[in-house]
Amino acid sequence: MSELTFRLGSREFDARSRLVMAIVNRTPDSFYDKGATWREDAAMDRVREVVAQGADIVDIGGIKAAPGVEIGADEEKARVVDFVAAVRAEHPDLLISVDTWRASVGRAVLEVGADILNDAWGGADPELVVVAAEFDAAVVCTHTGGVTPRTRPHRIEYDDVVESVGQSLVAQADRAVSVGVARERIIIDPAHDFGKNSWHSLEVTRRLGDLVALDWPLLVSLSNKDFVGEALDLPVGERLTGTLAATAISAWHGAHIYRVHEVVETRQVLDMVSVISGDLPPARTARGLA
Amino acid sequence: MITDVVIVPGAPLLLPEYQGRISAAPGLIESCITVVREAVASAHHVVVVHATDRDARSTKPAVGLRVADHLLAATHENFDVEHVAVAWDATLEECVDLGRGLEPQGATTLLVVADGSARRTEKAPGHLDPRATDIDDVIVDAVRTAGESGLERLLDLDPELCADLLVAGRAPLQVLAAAVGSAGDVASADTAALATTSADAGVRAAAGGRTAYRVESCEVSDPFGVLYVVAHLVAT
Repeated sequence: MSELTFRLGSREFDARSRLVMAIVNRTPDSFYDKGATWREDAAMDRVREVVAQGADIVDIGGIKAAPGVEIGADEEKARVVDFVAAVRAEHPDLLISVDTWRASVGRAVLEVGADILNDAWGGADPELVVVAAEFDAAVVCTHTGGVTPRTRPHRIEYDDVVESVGQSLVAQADRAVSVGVARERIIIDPAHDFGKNSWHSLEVTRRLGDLVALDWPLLVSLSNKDFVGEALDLPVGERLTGTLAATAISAWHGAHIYRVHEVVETRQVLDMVSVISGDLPPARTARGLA
Repeated sequence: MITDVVIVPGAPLLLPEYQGRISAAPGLIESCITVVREAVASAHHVVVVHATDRDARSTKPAVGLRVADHLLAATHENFDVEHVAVAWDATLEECVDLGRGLEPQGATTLLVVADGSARRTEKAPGHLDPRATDIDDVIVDAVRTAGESGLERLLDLDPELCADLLVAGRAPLQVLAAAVGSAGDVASADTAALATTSADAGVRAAAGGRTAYRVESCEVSDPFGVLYVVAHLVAT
């Protein structure tokens, strides 16, 4: 068992941790919920719901990942900053992540109590980690193959996708350390589907153990993504089972954080894997023991 | 002399290696530890009576022995422990011999690991047998009337019927009954009859020297269709 430990907010975790990061969109157009939590009260209800369901972290995002209407920094801040402050006020102990690539947005949300900057576009703004360091926040480094934010991969090939992912993530993590982010506050995310076709995402999943072996806390974002849909030829809305299968495989490989839409199902899968692996005792056992 | 008698279940779910995140039988282990702690506080010499495993498939010590040791370790007291294993299918006379042969050293706690039937409900380990409650009633009544020589009724338990009903504690309970019974005229008893007739005068010869016990506590439960008795009897 790895000696890995990592810190989010004031909490410390180890290599056996399997945390659920619930997605909370403050967008009118995200692919999965299509704006269901666009209104602030709906988004706050969503936070309450996922907290009650056992989410460890919420990941609040103001811009959908796919191409679309351009959202400037001011509009992005308008969508997330006050909302982060409200979530922090209502949930003092909840770990709050914000999905943004912009340093200016990162600064604004850290000022109102966010714990994690989820840099989903792989260091597109090099100042983001500097801001994280200034606030002693955690940061998620992601592999996108160097693409421009909010673009789809087109005809990208790698000699060895897992090796490229690992090199990119270690380089980003090392840079984050060099600008002052605490080592135990740096998370790496291979970013399934980002800068990758489905073959790439499947290979990353199959060989996730190679990335776990890099000895950084590893986040996977699998939920309802296209590589699941293409694997099973299923549209958005019918990808939960496939997502959970990929979740179980990732958990068995040792990933630590799972960014998801469905908290209850994910929590059960992760707990089941933890129990099978011996990282967590079963909940309650009497069969054959009475 | 045996100043304290403690009866606890021999359920594996009491063992630390089988603990989940939530207790399967809330309060049961705590009750067991409480009665053991109370008993050994005054009677430091402990004699553990447990049955051999009926369906042993491992080289591990008997579950009953492990449960007893776990409970004793949990009390953090200083005491000497003697283990007495009785075959789960021992005959009545074997049980009586074992019980009579116990040699208490000073104030002694007799820690008896024993369960009633495991066939009390449809979901019980041995499924439902309607005869289970009657035999369990005999056990519970015997313990609850320990102050009126009730323990002797444990000698009435029929080994064959108890085996059918998965009464894992029958043999240890009969060792107990013999140990705290009189030192009376057992030698003259017709041991062949002992196993078959509850009215045998030899076993019941209780003249004179019997110690009387009062029931300090007696909790009965069957959360999984197995009768659990947690009891503490104190010599008066």
